[in-house]
Amino acid sequence: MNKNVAMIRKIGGLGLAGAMAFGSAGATAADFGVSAQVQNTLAVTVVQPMALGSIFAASASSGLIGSLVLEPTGGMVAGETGVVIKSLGGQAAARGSVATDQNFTVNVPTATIVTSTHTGPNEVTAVADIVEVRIGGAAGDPNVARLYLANFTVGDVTDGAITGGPYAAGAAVTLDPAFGATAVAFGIGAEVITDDSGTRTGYEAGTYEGTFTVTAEF
Amino acid sequence: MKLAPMKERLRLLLNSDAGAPARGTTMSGMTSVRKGVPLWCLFFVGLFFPVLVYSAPEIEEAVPLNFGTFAITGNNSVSTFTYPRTGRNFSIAGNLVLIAEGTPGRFLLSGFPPNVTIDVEADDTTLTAGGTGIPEPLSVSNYDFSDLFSNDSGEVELQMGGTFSTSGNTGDYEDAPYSGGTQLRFHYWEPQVSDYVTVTKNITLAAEVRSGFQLEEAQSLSFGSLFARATPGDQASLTLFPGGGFELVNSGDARLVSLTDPRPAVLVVQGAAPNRQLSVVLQAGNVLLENKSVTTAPHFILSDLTSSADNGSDRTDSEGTLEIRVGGKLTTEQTPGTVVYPSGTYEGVYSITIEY
Repeated sequence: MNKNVAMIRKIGGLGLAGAMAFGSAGATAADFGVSAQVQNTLAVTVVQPMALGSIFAASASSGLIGSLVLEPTGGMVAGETGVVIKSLGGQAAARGSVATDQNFTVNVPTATIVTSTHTGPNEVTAVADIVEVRIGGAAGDPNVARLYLANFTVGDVTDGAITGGPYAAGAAVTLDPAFGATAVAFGIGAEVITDDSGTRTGYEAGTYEGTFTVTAEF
Repeated sequence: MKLAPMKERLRLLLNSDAGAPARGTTMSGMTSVRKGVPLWCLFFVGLFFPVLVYSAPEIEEAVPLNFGTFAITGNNSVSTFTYPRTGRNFSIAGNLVLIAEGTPGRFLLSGFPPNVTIDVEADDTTLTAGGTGIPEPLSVSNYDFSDLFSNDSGEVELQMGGTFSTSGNTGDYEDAPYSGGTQLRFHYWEPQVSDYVTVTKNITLAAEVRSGFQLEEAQSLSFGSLFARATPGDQASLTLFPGGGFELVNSGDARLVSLTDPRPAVLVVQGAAPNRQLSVVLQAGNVLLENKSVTTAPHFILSDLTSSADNGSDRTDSEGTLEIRVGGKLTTEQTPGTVVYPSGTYEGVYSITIEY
């Protein structure tokens, strides 16, 4: 199952306008333009999309969930085990890069859930900003059980460091570029959770896809 | 001006406009002899001197008199430019700036009697824009002629200078080529007729007024790409120096982050007087930079505009060109609450005046 990281990219272009003025009586007066381009969202370059690898998951339950935790470093560890879900390998954390030499903040999906306290149906599906991963993507069969991504984390920073932490899952994380660095790369992990809707109870073999958005700002 | 006395003498008037002799190339050409001279006298002259054949006097305008190109920086009083016939040691009085030197007039006289003094005079005239006669005119007077004494071949070169003056009546002089005409009159003793003769030539005098100059923006003033945050109590600033360096000052939560380097404006003056000091005056008041796409966005405040001109003036090079770099201080606005500036282009306009 693959999951693609969506990115927001805003790159401003500077306009350069030429002008010419002519004067008389020994003086020339002219008006010229001055500009500043504001870019309040940094461009995040996808270095590597998130890949959940091969996962074994047969069924889903409304009262129980299972989960795997994909770490920013790319490691996959077991989470909740109420429903069987196992990693068969091939996973990779998402990696993004921001070109700046200034401190900046990475925003990941804010969906958080304490999976260990899950008790009833739709506790997962009702979480705000939860990320769906569906067979065939958004246009796939809606009746097949889905996977959900929540508890996003940022780590494994290259050419910089996390500053001001520790940060809870789903929180915006501030990164401090190393001295002399002009770009910072970082990993993004998440917890993969089984469907608890109660109406979609069976997983099918296939490729599951979804997207999530990561932004960066000063 | 030199003019021989013209008394009761026999005169032969020859008109050589545009250098073309009218007549009088031989004794038989003397058709304009005054009444009262017996024709039999001419017969005797022809009888005894049949081999005296002179060519007609010719005046060739080798180089027309051009005073040069000037900026007229004011016309509240009369300004004058005195241009000697040598083209050297000219003098300027008043509000004139010489941009490009002209050329003294140079005329080649031939066909004159050998070894005679030739007096020359010309009337005062005016030069007008395009030669149309439309005010304001430049008044030309006080011509400076070289002494003329023909050589053995009847040839001599005339050099001509002069003086022009502005009106001094506050009228505006249009930037344009100026021209006007006058008539040169040459007086000399003509042995063939034993009298003084006058030859004329119409000439055109020229000058150019170019009080203005071009001011071209080679590079606009840009503070580059920024992240900006405004707060109620603090302001962040980015000072861009004309040389291209910049300094960021963040205060409290107000913040400016430079994402791409700002760059100063590069303005180029062309067509001004060479090696001339020009004053550079930048707008003193603040300029607001606005996001026209997001009208509710806070503004940037541009202040302290500075230029590369030391103490507000700088000198053109030998081509009359001057490059001016402009920087300034960009400051975030104080807002009722903390606001991140929306993305987009923030624009404003500043003014600059450059003068002699």
